[in-house]
This record gives sequence, structure tokens and C-alpha cells, in this order.
Amino acid sequence: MAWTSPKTWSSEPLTSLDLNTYMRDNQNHLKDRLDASASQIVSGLSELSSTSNAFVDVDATRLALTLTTHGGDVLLGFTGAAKCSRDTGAVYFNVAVDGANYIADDGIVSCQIAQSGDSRKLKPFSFVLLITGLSAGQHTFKLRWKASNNNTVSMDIVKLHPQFWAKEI
Amino acid sequence: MDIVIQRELEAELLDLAARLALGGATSGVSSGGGLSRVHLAEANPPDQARASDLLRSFGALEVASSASAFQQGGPAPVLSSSDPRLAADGELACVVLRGGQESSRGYGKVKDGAFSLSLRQLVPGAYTVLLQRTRGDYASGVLRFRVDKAS
Repeated sequence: MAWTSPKTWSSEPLTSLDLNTYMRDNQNHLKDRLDASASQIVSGLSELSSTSNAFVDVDATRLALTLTTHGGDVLLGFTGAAKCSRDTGAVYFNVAVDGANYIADDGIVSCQIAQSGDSRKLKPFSFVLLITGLSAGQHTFKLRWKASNNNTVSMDIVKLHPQFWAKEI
Repeated sequence: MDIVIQRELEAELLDLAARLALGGATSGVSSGGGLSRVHLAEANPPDQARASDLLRSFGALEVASSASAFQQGGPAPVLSSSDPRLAADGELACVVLRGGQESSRGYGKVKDGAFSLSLRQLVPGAYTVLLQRTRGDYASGVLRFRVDKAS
């Protein structure tokens, strides 16, 4: 249901056609947008790990969302915990929108593990990202990550349960 | 592109194996959710076939260690293999990890189809060794042992 710019009435008769277009259909449009959301809370028997130094899906099925939008922007959020295997390692996060990295270079957020002996310890990660310019229709959103410095990055989904969500606004 | 197998392998070891076998053609590996993936930079059929072999035959090489625990200063660990796949091989690539970090790498000779390598002067720690063919169809083996302080 597309949005129709509201009409300004003056003295013409109020018709059922106009009421349906400007009141019913627009309210349905707004309600549909409010209702459009998708969310995954991930659990598993073993942690997710990657050594890739290019962005790859963290989990192509469980940290992936499909949302049918109505032409509005989408708010994406992630909360979870990740760790690196090396003191000098870093983990970088990004999202793929319809299969393409949404942010260039090193993505959205990163944690550089310092030379403090705290490698292999989980660090909390959380971000919210506004996705703009999406056409109305079905879209996929996937959480991606990459590692640096011959590093293995891991995400706990056994005792901790990351959430990845999307909501049209 | 990703080459996937429904088998969860240890990411750090699989990464070592993938970089040995594929070099710059791979950006790394992932594991979790019952799957393992080799990430390829390009959809190149020879690299896809090599990555597929790697996932299928990772850990398939029959390898052995002379013991599972050693004492520092005592008899050195001897790694060996008489896997039939080595019949025409001249060497195996060898990567030694101590406590999960790479401590050395090199090649061990295969003579008359038999591989034997003695690791000397090891310091105490938990060791993992990846042995991998350098020619023919892909195959690798993994050994784990411990070196304790001399009592």
C-alpha cells in the first residue's frame, strides 16, 4: 500500500473514494511500516568463528533478516560479544544489504585488542545503523565481520545470545 | 564466493591449511552452526575444486605421534605417517602451534612413502601440528601432544 500525499479539502463533497485513499489507505501504509520488523536471537551448540580478512557473513542463515518494506528507511541493530585470538588482532563489523556491503572500507565498528593479554576474552559490541534509500519491497540484511592480523574472531552463541534486528521507520 | 561443507572444523587450523593450499586465493575460513566455509576471493574453478578437496580431506591423512605427552629434555616427539597417499610424495608441509600460536613451520621429508620428523628442543606447552601434502590431491593430518617441564 503506497503513501498518497494528503489532500487539502476546501468545500467539495467528502467522497468515499477520497476517504478510502487519503484516510484508510494512508493509515494502512503507516501501520504496515510500524509493523514491519524482523529479529533473530541466536543460540547454538558452538561459537561462530572466522579468519577471513574480507567481510563475510557471520552466519548466513541465523544472523540474516528478510524484511518487506514500504519505501521507508530501516533501522538495523546488533548486540553481541566477540573476541580475537591474538593480542594485536581486531574484529570489524559490517552489514550486507541485498548482498552488498553497506559501508565501505573497514565497516561500522571495530575492536582492536591491545597488547594487554586480553585476547580470547569476549568484548561487547552494539550498534544501530540507519539504512536509507531502500525501494519498497523485500530486502535482506546480513551481519558481516572480518579479522585482521592472522587473527581468528569468534562470537559466543552458546552462553550469550546475540540479537540482530531490523525495523522500518 | 564460499565453499561449504556440513562439518564443523577448527577455524584456526583450517585457516592454516587453507592458506597453505590456496595462498592469496582465500581470504580465510569460517566455522560454526555445523558448517565450515572456505572464502575465495574469486569464482575460479581450480581454486573451488582445491577448496572443496581441502574441506573434504582435512584431517584425513593418517598421522601419528610417538606419544601424547613428553618431558622437556627427554626423548623428542617423533611424528610419522605411512599413509598410502604419500607413496610418491617427497615432503609434507609442517606447521607447529604452541598454545594456539604458530611457533615454527617447514617441510619434512617423505622417503619411500614414509614420513618421519623429530621435533627437538621443544619448550613446555600444548602443541598442535598440521601436516599437509604439497602435491597431488589435498590431504592433511593433525597431531596434538603436550610437553611438560622436566620434573
